[in-house]
Amino acid sequence: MESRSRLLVPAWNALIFLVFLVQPLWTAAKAGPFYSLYLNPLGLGRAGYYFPQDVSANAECFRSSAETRRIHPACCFICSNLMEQGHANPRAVLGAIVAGSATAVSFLLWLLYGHQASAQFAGHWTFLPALNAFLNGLSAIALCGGAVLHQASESASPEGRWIQ
Amino acid sequence: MGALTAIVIFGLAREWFGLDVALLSALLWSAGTIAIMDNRLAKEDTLLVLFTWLGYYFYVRAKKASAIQVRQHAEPYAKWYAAAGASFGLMLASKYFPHYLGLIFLYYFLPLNRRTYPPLCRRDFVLLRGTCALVFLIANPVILAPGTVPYMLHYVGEGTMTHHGYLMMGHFYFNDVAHLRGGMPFYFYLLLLAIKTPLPVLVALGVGMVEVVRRRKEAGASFLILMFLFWIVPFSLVSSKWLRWMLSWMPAVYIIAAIGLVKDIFMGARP
Repeated sequence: MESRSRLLVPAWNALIFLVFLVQPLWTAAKAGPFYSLYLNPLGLGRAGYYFPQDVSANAECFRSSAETRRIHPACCFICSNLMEQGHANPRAVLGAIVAGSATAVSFLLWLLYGHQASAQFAGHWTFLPALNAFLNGLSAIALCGGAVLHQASESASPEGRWIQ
Repeated sequence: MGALTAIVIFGLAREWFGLDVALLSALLWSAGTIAIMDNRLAKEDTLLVLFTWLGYYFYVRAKKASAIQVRQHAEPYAKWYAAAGASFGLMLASKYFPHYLGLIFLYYFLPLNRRTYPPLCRRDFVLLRGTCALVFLIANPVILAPGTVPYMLHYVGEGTMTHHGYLMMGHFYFNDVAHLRGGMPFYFYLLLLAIKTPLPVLVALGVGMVEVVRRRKEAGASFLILMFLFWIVPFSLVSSKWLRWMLSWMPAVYIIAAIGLVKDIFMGARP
């Protein structure tokens, strides 16, 4: 009897762990990227029925119009209207990027060659190059990841496009 | 910012309930579908929640340190009041919801806490309010522009954006504060919580609620009850409701669920 309970305790612990920790984590992973469309069994599978405005106006809908339409037509309807309004002038965007980059480069050049650092800072902030390298590395990873995901999104749905 | 809030929730939960509840609270916030959904919106509520709960954390630290120092001349606590003031300043700069600031004052005004913690002396008061005002103005200098207040009044009077209504379960409701009748149903947030939270977390929340009510005379439990009720009751009664406003409620919800998990469910599973 005692040996039986010894076997049951770890099994019960594992079950508790699975139900109360793994299941919510799995739910969150599975609900992405359309988190606002998630419903538990109490929602009876009627995504978009309860709060269609808030659910549809979520930025997540922008990711792929084809997938959104498959999941919830109301979401697609509102998003398509927003997408039409969301088209920006590429020349203006390009100009802003060039102007921003020129400002940043000018500031860096001034900092390197035009600004004399105070002697009291010598030896301080030595961690900054390492931090810079670390952040550059993160940027590279983010860019590569973004490019791969973008390609995957484009190939998965011909009409899929990102607004960002 | 939403991810940073997990650290703040961890800190606050650890102050009162220990490491296990703190870790689980942060985990539930990080994986919570409602928290993720709201934090992905480019709205001010994420900043509001981060700085509100960060302010609560610093204020709790200040109160605890002041109570110890009065008895034992221990750690200086003025820095915690300054940090709390700065956080509340950023909170107010994020969104003009000053009643969240009042809630923490109300909590420490309760008879149980008035006996335990010393009141704010003049220096603490100046430090808290001073840093709050200073940081608020630094983060939000536009408030000083002469045209800002008239614009705010214009906005509040729906001059810039009109809220016509809100479609919910196939029915249109008025969604502004002025409509006392025909406004959004009172069960809006409760329904949202019930259908958009994973069932095990809902069960843990129920168990945790029983636990905190049972321990209502303890400092941490009474804080959670206050934050839970003083959010859901007034926000349910107001006829205007938005899904994203619920984010401010979720830290209390997840900490209570974590208490339910640790104190009852996991504890009951131990051999």
